[in-house]
Amino acid sequence: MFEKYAAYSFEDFAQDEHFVKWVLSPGPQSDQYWNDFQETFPYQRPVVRRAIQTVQNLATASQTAVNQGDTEEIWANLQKSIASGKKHLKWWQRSWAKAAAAVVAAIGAGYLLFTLENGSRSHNPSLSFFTPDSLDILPDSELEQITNNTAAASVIILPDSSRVTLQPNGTIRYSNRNFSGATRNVQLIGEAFFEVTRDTERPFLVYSNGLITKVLGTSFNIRARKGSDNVTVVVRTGKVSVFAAPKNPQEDPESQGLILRANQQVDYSKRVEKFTRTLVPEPVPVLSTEELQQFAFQNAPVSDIFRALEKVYDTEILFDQELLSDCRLTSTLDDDVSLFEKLDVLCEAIDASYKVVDAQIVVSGKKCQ
Amino acid sequence: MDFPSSDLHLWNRFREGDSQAFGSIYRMHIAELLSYGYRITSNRQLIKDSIHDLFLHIWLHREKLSETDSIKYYLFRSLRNRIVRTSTDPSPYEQGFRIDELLADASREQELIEQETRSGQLSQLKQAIDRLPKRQQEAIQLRYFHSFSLEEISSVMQMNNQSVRNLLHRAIVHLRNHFEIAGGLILSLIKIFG
Repeated sequence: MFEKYAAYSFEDFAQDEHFVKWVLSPGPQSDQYWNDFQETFPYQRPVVRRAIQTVQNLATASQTAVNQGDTEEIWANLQKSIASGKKHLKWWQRSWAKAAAAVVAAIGAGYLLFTLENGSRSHNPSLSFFTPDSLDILPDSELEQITNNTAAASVIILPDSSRVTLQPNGTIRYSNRNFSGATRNVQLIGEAFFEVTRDTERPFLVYSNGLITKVLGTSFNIRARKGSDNVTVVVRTGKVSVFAAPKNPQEDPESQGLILRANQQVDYSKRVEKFTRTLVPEPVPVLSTEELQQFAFQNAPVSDIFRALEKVYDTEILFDQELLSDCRLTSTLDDDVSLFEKLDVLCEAIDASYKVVDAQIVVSGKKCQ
Repeated sequence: MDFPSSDLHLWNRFREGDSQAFGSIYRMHIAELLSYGYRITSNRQLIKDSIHDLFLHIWLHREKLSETDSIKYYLFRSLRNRIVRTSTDPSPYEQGFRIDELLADASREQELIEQETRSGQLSQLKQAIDRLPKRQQEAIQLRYFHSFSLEEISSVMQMNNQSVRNLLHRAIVHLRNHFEIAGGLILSLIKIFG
């Protein structure tokens, strides 16, 4: 299935629909596909690397500078047109120049209108509920702050085109200037799901209740309640690194943290500075339904089934290979049965039990006759 | 961890007359629309007029709008139609570029961002893109920045699929020299954080 790519140049890759999709919005399946491709054709590795860079550069360089004033100006005029009940656009167009001049002069008023809708956004927000450690890292000027005051989740596109789905009562802050620097920094209070645009040169950092979550391009959820000491980070795809905000700038905080994979979550308590890693309550297969259907076991060693489950959920399963070597089962790995239900059935069949320890599954059993 | 199909929901709330939903739609898409507009035409006033008219139109006719699960796609297509229709310029995407006019206007902050951009390599590529014919600029931005599929681009730009491919291919060929400098360097981190 890779043959067509064997002789591709980096320009061919950069124009290939699947390849571009992978670079711009990677997922576990496409990651797997392109990793396998590079393993099959190792000489294409540098070409792929260059093609990734090319696509990312094109994405960045094809943006155009957006003038913040335009954004507010159009909105203010829109409010005016709506308020005055205008049905005919032509009138308004002719008087645009006048209207625009008035609005620019009174940009504060336009700004007020702009903040009236669901999110409140301000350049000069109150800083009180942010922890001092994260404030050190973000300069307090030029901050954008967005709060979701609605009852529904709201999607925010960051300057790097990463998507944040902010839950009700959640607040994110970031600095436009910061997004063009060495790292992309965001502060979060509340809960949000992040889909981060891949940029290998500029890690994406989320600061929440003293915990830093670092990522290059993946999707994950963070819950950091206001006034709480706890943070929960749940990884949907890819890998992220989490670590406590450093107390002094000399130390490397990352070495004290954890790396989380898909289907793992960490609970961090700021008060006791403790990480608790576990599996998510409902692990999601990292393989496609089609790939899952390839797994069918006829009187197979149970160890093969465990190995397959490891692959499907990207989760380690520990067991005594020798002890279970005579245990044989017939099974498929259906998509609609959860990992834990599957484990229940398997363990019952071989008279074993399992528990989750540090995001790994530990199976204990006895010899089968 | 329910991932929201928020577009559909938001759009329906808006169609029912929820002005907060209208505000959200505006705020979520305005930067992208402006950015896209600059690649269709260099006439900034026309872009602003068209965006104003587009939003006023959808507000006034909200009840008659059909359902959509991609607001962005809907807005992009409508904006483009509007700009092309309203434009008195016989060819809004002719060869010429007046992007320098635009840049002269851009805010101070934006200038600083430009300066900090990776040692000028990207800004060279940026300049090269600015020099492409407008239609190529537009296709490149839709493809790589907004990550539209070829099919979506052909629908937005009202060209067939093969013409879009050709357009993108010509752009890439034009830009070829500017990719040379971008090779190499990928942090070893990519291995850890796939």
